[in-house]
Amino acid sequence: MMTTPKEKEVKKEEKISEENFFFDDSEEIILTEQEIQDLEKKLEYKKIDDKTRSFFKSSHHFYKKLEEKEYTISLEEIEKL
Amino acid sequence: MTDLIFKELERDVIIEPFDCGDQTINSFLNHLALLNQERKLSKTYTFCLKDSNKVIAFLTLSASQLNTGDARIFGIDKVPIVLLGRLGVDNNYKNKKLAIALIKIALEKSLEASKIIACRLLLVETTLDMKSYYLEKVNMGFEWFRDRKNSSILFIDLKKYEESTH
Repeated sequence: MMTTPKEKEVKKEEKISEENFFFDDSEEIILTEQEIQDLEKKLEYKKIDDKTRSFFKSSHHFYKKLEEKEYTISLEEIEKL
Repeated sequence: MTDLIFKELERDVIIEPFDCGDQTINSFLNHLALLNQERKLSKTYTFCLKDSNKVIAFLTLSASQLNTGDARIFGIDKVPIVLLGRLGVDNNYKNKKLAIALIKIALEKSLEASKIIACRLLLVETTLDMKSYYLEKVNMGFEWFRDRKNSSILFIDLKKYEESTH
């Protein structure tokens, strides 16, 4: 499929935005009744799966390692995450 | 080998020529991040090149809350949270897992904060395009919370993070 220059630019923008986060905190978040029920269920009863548990453990170990190395790390080590 | 140092944003950190491709995020780092930090409104952490002290990626955390309006959740009307307000990776360093590294760090920093003042969730906002990526393709513990017009709010439960790691 042919891609126009404009489409290519949009794809490039999307790729770039993948690693950026921006939280619009200009409006206060007020939970709805439904959101309260859903959130309560997720926080109280939802179990995390093994892959998430593994990610959590790796996050903890990554930070401890960073601390041990006095917050110095190579870009190549990060690429292996 | 490219050595990086993880550090809080300080006056000696060189911000120019950081460009993450999003002018709002660039502008925050250039003009507000340090000011907000000095005012204790938000905290910015960076990955800098060790030899030049130039920032190549950063994230900003702050305390916030979810208001339950007239209702209550767990008997309270405000849920204390940590907001991952900004995260940016310089265009020259994309696709090197710096964002994942920063999210891992955000989890641990949020947990540290929750041990002192209690906060239950880490909240992030991502584009609608990336929503399924974070919810389905990568297992980082994100849960869907709410969609906005062009974005989606996701959270990670810090209690489950603590239970899994301690």
